[in-house]
Amino acid sequence: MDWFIQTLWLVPIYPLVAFLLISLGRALPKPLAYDASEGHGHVDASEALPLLAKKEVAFALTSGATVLGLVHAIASVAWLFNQHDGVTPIEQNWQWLQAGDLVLKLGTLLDANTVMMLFVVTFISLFIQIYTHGYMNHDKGYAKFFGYLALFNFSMLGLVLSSNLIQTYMFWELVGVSSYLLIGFWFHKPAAAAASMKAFLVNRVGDFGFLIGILLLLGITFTSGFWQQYLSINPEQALLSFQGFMPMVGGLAKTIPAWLLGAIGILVFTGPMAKSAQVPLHTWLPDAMEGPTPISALIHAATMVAAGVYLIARVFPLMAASMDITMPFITIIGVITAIVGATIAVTQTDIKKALAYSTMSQLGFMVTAMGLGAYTAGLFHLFTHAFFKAMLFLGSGSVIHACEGEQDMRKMGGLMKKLPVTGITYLIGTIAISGLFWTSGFWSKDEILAAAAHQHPVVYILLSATAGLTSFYMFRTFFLTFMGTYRGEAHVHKEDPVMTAPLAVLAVPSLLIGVLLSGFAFGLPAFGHYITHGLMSELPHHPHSLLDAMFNKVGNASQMVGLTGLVLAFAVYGMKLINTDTVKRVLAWPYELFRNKWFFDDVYQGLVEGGFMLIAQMSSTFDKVVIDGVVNGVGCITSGTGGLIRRLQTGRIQTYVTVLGFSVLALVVAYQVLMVKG
Amino acid sequence: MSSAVTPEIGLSTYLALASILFGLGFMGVATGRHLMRTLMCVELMLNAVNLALVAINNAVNPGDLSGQIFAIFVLTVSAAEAAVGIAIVIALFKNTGSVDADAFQQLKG
Repeated sequence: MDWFIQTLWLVPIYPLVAFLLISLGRALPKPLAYDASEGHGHVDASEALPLLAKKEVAFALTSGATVLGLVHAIASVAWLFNQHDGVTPIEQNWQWLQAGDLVLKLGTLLDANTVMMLFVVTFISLFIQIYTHGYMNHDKGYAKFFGYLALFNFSMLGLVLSSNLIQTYMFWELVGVSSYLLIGFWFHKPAAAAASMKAFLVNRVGDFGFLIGILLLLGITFTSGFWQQYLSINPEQALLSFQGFMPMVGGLAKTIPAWLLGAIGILVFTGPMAKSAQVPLHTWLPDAMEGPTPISALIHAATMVAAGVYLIARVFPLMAASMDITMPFITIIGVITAIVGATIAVTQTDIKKALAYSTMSQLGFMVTAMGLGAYTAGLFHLFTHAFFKAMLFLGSGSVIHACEGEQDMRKMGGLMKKLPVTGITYLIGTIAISGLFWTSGFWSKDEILAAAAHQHPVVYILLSATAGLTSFYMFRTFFLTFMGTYRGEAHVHKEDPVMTAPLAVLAVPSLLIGVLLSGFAFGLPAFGHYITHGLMSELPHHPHSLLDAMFNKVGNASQMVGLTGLVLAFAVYGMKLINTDTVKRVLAWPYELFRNKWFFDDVYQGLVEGGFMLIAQMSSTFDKVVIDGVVNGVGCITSGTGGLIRRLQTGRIQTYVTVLGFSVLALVVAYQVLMVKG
Repeated sequence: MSSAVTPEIGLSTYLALASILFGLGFMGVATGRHLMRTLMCVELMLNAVNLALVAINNAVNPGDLSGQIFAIFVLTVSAAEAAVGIAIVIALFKNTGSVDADAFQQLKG
């Protein structure tokens, strides 16, 4: 057991090796027999491939690496549960480079946060890889896809295990690259290519702010001499290490002005803003749904987008040090994101787009929790959300797969009979995300709402309303997809057991993980028990028993709101008591606003187009008038002067001699006159 | 002693002569159209300078002969110059049939 903890650095190495081997396999020359048989439906085509390029090998390598990672993750969970008297984090560092006093290190940090993310990433990855085996089975790029999945796992696990901000930034960019590669996996589709580019560019904006934040922090701690002071406390610490954040921020708060600390916090927060799709940098996430559905589930719902929230948790002391600037900023951004995401989700007809906006909204919840200081609540919601949202996405993928690629919910309906396992797990996921009936979503969302109710009534009301909306739009997708009668033309296939098995597995944590980690079941510790240790204890209510926790005031209220959403969705989309067209007509203005995604894309389009055109116009004018003017002016003056002077060149020797002679004479006379006078 | 005073031929006399010779040469170069006359006028100017060199050397520092030596050098160079100049004039005449300076204005700007 100890061995798995001590060799935690191997966790990202496994998928890296898998990625390199698969890439090597793809780079090997393909035998002629393969090329000849390709496209002729030859069954034995892959037989001729070199071993490394085979589908089975790619799958075995990637999922094998994930299984090894999962073993480490389980060992770390066991390690965490054995830490009875508070968690003593384990940090291992290797020196990377040194320049003067500046030492950059690479390393791993194991604490409660790491354990949670490590488990989520490896666990969900594994089941998504199994699902992918079914989903991508007939895709030509099967091996490439698994190679990219391994690359993503390497980046994500490296990010999770990072012991300092510099290393985090490196892996932060790497997950961005893998996300780009996977969104644009079907790059022959123009929409996918554009979406991958958009994701990359929007993330660049956030990453740039993040980088400036890190460098500011580095510069200030380093130049203020504060760093040496800190080094003497713990010389083993790497620069900007997460372990050292508490003392570092404590010292910083005394030495630098509050506005600067707040600015650094906000700059660092722009990284999570882009990665976790917070307004106004959220526009890439819905477009990212052009990628294959397993990717939407793994990267754009469960793990990578949650990395932003994870990062906020990592640098939480920095955020919390600026109670007047950074924290309110985070809260406001989170609340806006939650509302914008939920309202747009109501109007979407594409099942994946609806889920994407739902993810955005839920991320808004987590970020709000962070902003409110309800650190554990945010992480808890991240944890439960990862399971049920991954399951919902995989469910939608199963539906799309069965409907021959159809994603429009208006052309679905009544699929419960054809796809029973998908339908039931999707219903479970819907209940969980709506926070109903004490499923996992209830517990985590409840904690966020409780924190909001405790701190800020306006935020509480807004979040509660959004939670009701969540319930409404999620049940809307459920009723449209699985209930009523089938409205599409595509022939519906049967479910693939390779794809339904992961759904069934993920349904279990979606239902139970909340109550299991509520602190009242089977003697298991509460989720926040380890996370908060030594940092802050912000739980506003202290329930004494499971029943007490199940029926607290905030919980009851949120269940009521959720049920209202459910009933409304049932009335509109289940029983069709209310005609949607009438609603659209009556609420025309908000409907158009939501359907057009609050016009974010249009505004950006206008800003970018208008702004760039303006700058281009100005540059063009400057170039034509000023630069060309100078260049042409020099030319004109030169040739004009030349035209005047050329007349002196008569070609007659007599003239030259005369000019020469009289010039000398003039010089002599001038010399004489000057010498005499001088 | 005879009352007739033979005027001493001084430096100024030599210089006056040299100036007159130089001016004549210059005039010839500046106004002449025949190329041979131009060459001869150049020779005249060179010899005017030689005269001035020798006279000044004699008057200022009679013990030193550098002025005279310089004049010898000028003679040498002028001989060479005359040779080259005449060769050019002959070549021009052979090619164009003219020795008129006004006929050669191809370098007019």
